[in-house]
Amino acid sequence: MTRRTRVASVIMIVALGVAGACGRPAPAPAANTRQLREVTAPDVSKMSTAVREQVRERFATLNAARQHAAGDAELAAAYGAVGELLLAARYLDDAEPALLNARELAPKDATWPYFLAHLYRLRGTLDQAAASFRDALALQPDGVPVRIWLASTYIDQGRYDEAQPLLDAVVQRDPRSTAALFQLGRLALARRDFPRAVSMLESAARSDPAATAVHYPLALAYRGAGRPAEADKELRMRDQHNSEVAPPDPVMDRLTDLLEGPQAFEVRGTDALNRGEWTKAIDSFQRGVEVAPDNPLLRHRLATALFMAGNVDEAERQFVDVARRSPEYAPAQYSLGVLLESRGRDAEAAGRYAAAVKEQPTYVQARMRMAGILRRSGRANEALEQYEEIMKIDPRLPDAPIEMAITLVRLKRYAEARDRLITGMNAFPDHPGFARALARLLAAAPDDRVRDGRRALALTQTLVKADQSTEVGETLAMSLAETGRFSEAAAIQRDLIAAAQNGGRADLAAQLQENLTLYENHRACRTPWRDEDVGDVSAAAPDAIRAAVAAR
Amino acid sequence: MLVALLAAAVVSAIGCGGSAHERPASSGSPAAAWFVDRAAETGLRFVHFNGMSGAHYFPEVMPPGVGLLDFDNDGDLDVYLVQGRMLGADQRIDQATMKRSTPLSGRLFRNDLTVNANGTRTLRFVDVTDRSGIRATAYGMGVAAGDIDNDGWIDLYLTNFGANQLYRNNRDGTFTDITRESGTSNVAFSVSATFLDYDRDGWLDLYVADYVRYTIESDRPCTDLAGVRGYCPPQVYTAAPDHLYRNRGNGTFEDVTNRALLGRSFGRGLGVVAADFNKDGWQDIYVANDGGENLLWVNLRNGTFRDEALTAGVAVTADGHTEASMGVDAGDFDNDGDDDLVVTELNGEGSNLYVNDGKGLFEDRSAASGLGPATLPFTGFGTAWFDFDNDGWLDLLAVNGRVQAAEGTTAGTFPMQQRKLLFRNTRNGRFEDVSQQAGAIFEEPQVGRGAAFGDIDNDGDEDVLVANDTGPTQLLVNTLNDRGGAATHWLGVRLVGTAGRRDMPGASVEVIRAGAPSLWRRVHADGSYASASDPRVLVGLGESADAPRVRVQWPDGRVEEWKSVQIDRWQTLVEGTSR
Repeated sequence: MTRRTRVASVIMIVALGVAGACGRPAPAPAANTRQLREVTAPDVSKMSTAVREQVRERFATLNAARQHAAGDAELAAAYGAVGELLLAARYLDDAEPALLNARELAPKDATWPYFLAHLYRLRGTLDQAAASFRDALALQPDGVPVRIWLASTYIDQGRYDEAQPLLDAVVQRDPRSTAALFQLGRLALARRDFPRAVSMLESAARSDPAATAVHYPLALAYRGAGRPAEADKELRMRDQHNSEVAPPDPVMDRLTDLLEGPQAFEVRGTDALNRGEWTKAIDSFQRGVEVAPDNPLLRHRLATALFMAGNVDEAERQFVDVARRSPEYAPAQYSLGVLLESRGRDAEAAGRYAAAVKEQPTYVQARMRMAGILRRSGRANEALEQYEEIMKIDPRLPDAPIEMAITLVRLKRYAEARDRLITGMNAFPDHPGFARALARLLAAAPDDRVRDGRRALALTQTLVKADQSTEVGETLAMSLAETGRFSEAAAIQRDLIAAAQNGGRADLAAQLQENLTLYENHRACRTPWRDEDVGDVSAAAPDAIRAAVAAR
Repeated sequence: MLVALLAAAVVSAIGCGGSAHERPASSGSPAAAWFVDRAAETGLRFVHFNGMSGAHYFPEVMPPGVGLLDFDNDGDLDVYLVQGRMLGADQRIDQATMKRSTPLSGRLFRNDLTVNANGTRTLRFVDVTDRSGIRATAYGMGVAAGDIDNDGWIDLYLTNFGANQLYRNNRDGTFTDITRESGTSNVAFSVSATFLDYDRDGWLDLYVADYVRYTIESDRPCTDLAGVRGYCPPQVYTAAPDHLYRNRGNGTFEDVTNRALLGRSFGRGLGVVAADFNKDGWQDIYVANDGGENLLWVNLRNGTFRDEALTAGVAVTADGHTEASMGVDAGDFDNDGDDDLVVTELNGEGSNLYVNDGKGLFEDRSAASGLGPATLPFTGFGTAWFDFDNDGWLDLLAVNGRVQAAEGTTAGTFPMQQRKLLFRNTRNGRFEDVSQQAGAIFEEPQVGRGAAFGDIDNDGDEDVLVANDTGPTQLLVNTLNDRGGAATHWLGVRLVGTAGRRDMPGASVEVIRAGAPSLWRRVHADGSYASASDPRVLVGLGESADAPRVRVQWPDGRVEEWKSVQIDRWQTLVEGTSR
């Protein structure tokens, strides 16, 4: 085809596309093609430029194939290319006829019924999905993904007996197939065969420890099997990103990677970020930035992915860039602040947090971190103001009252701190942070009217059953010393120092030495918290930066 | 990690006008239809206005709820309709995408039901808003009804995008706005609310589910994967905290949220229902949260609640997935004496059915019941358990309507319409989709949102009032008792307390039948989506004409039994008068 006729085709496609939403038919097919379904381009006028070009290009190819009366194989490929692009964009009604045509023209190619099956799953018409998966399976009897998806569809429909043999066949060939084991677990759960569900899901978890989606169904299986403690443990590990346990599926991966618009890059990049696939995340966001250079969200996420991958210098450059280009984009200001704080540049970090709060006054995370800097730099009263504001914005955040209590201690307002922590314990009975902080305050507050060694010891002895951290260990030592049991306190403190040294934490070991000296001299501690005790800024940075991605 | 895209609702199915691929056949003549829309002919002429102007403001896709309540105490159900307005301070009415055809305020319609000499009933609704004193000109979301001052006259709580409103019934056909003095203003994005006596002090308290922290100024542009602008998914915005208000008994309420609802973050609350899920005699609260874990506030019987949704199995699906979760209802669909849960979801997710084991632990039986697969193509909102055929088994109705235009769909100004669904309980833990037989109204696609359930014409079968986003109000009158055929019988009771003769939400009713298992129902006006339903209890008895015994457990735990209660008529059972 000459360039002129190609351009004419594109223009025609565009014109058709504008009318496409109204369902006007495409030009009449060439004489030697079959009677296939009408395939019209959707309205591309509001799409992003990149996707619009993709749609136009594929329709141009399709039109050319139809114009020159291409053979079935070429036509099938052209229809299929259109169908899969529209499926990737979730334009299901537009994708369906194209994929149906591809299937009709290339009846031996399993790809088309496979894509159709997924289309029907997305649409929610499971009977059609199952039928198409069966068609694909008939063409590809050894196909594992199709078998697992068909089984999953049957389970969703309550057709358990039909699902079973499909999954058994996969596991027979590959006993470690996580996806098949997971589906067998789902099946057993649906059938209320809890012991079998436990067995299958435990196997799935062993096969792929990173498959976090296993934990919740496994919890239900344990619950049904009368194993509540194990159920609770699995609940605590449950996935919170709606992950799937899917088989390796190059065909669907191709579909997922098809769209080239900024939104698609954002989705792919974010999914990769959630899975911890930093390189893939960086690549997706980078491509997104290339097609949408003014999109602050993409730049912010690129910077986040770089940070998570360990390229901190480049991440800082990117964060600075997005903050400069889009100063109103609060998450970028916040993330940059966290990075700076982790590098010990508190003053600069505080400025970024202030910028984030200025744009988004309800940005509690930024306020929390700003409060931490203010407290550490001796501006405790200003820190208190931030905590007050945070508690007004979101009274359900437990960290704010805990850190506020610690700040009150800094201001020697020990009774107020104690009262805050007691209130917090009642409001958040399942949050151990309040008990931890209260125990420490009661053990070591300089104010005799606040200190209560016995109560501190009772609290700590309860805490230590579930938490053998250094923090709780230190509090136990403080409580023992406060109740006159100095030799026990010293023994515990020595153990903590040894553990710190063995763990390569010479800095921590040195800090712990101070209190050991006190106990060895039969003196109790009167410093509930050192500055370093309250949040390890560097250690917390990755989680904080990653969490900023969820903020808008 | 949540993505600010329409693609976050990536399993969107094309459902414009319902499942275009499973469109049911017509059910034949109107005379044979199980439900007939009588809104227009009875005077309920109202079209909702959502204020859309092309800006795709987030609240536009969420309203409205609807209310059934007997505000004038004449024994029949009146109607409250929620209305919207333009969004954004600088938006003018001429910028609206859709012309408005009804006033831009919530409307109160009085039911002037007459029973004719031949036993037929004539429904007539009269708009009495102007003289009612109700001035609901905010961007309305929903309505809850409850008697907050125990005077026997129903009061109204209106949830809004903005400040909510509490209207006290003056007992003379008018209401007074007591929002400010009551302390229940709650300036937020509130959707559903429920009145319940959580502390058993005899006064109805109030739980308000708030949705997201959102202002017009904070509105974000969202697109689908192809870059086409549309409505944002809720994950774009932070969840707003719910509120629990304790009734002081003097017309004021105390916000006890922080001390009563222990240690749990809130979600994006949409649906709320109160019921005694663990059968300890105290009201618990279930909140359907959009795109997040649902909450089950278990009453600890000391003025506080603890969230146990996760351990109870009702926070997420059996696969551990959070879903959209809009409408909700609690009811004993399997007649085993405990309240089960149904939650409506986004298209591609399927409604969730959580079956109670009697102790407050639930099992997800969505797929096994058939409800999950059948509802996959639909985005469900208002829903309820109700026995539409009076066979003694609770059936289910859901009104549907998308929250996004189907990708690629640009025809129409608000292309979200889907048809309604009616499921009959087949008595074996499963449901059968009988929408095709139910009437032409079930084929008509609308953007369904609120649904209130009750016997509007007092003829012994449950009717449904439906509110549609940018659509007309629909009154689905049940023709069960008009169609002839095999006679079914029913028990209809209104349960009222001694003090003030108010309705008693939280009371449970056991209908003890000779030669048949007992049936359990509960007094409630909440559930569904942003709507208030008939608090009376209507129990289908099937073909049995034997008068049952009725055992009532009142909200304060006391139990009474009526040895013989007449059937096939409405009657009132007053606390303390059992015989």
